[in-house]
Amino acid sequence: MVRQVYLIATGIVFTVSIWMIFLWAPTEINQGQVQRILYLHVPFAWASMVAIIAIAFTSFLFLYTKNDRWDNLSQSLAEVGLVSAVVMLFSGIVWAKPVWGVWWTGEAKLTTALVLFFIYCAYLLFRNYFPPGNARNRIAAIIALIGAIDSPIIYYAAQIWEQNHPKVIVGPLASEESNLNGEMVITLLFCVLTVTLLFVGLVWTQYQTNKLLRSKNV
Amino acid sequence: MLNWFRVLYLLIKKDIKIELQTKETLVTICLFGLLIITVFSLSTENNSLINQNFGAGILWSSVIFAGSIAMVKFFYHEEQNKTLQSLLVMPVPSELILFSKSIVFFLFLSISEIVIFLISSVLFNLNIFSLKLIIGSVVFNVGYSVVGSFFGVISSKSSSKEILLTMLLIPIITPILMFIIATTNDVIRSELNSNFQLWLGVGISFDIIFLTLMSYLFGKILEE
Repeated sequence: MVRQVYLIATGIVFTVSIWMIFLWAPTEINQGQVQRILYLHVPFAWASMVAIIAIAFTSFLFLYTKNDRWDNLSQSLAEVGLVSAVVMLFSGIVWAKPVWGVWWTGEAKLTTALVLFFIYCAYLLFRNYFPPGNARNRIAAIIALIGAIDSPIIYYAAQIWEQNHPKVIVGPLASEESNLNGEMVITLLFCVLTVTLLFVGLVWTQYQTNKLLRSKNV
Repeated sequence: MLNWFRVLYLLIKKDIKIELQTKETLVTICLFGLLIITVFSLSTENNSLINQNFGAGILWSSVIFAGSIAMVKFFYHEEQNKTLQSLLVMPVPSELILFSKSIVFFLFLSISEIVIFLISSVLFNLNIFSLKLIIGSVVFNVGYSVVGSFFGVISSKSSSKEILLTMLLIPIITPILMFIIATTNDVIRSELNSNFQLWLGVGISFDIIFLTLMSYLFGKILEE
């Protein structure tokens, strides 16, 4: 019952966010309408980054306590984290083409996001391919920890990589700094809050689903 | 301590002896790697254009994919004959098994790379043999062998070994992959003004971090 009320409240907040994005926030001068994508792109990027830290934390707790609830939570976080990463990558690609003039560049954040997506895929693939049991849950937790430790190294390496490549910013006004005014900042922060609520709601729902599946040995 | 070095030596000797009889790992890496390079060389008539822009990517993607296939084979026999379980019964730290596997795979990978680089330099008219690339390859091979051996043991228990190992291995080794591709690009393009020292720092740090981490976690993945 509590979950249903929470999800309905999230739905209402999400509707308000949509109204703010398309009707309340003014159009950004430099980028135009396409800038509105960032109101969803940034919050989903935030959700996918937070998810990998949360997975590392819950995986550590699982290895320490051996309590299956932490493993279930890690799995649920990874599933929702993967969806967030897909939304982040897709919205970023759609935004980049008109603003930068290319769909993709070797920029550090982009490379890290893509590798993060593959780490989520690897974690979930492992869970699907490996025979179920305590060994699978323990090794999955170890893989999550390795992925989380590797993420900052990937980001650092991608930053050096970026120095080797010229920036591919060829949009008509792309070189100019974009300025977010007060309403835009409020909209962005409200969207971060909305996506965080949505993320928690989805993880909660997924957790209950996985719990049910595990109890039925599916 | 001296006894452990003796055990490590015996474990390495065992794997080399098996390889000398079957020649599976070396032949797999060399042939599969060369096959990938040949496919790329067929894709264009202008090889000089390829070696400037994609030479490093082609070389290392062939090594990585061939290496991961060979890694699966390398651990397949251990799993099939249950010899890994027998090794675990030995009264020695389980990390020694990881070290021995990593050292043997490092040797096989290094030998295969010499063959692949030699033939690539002919096919693509590349001049890639330099001290920079040798240092880079050694650092890369250490990281690749350690992480690969760790995930090789994990994936050997799965029914979809090949896909699982590749999916686990490549995202994790991204930092050293970037390091070796950047280094090879420098060598191919004869660029002097590069971030080689910075990259070398990333490569060595990766090796140290993952050697320590994998040694610590290896016992945990083998717990029953």
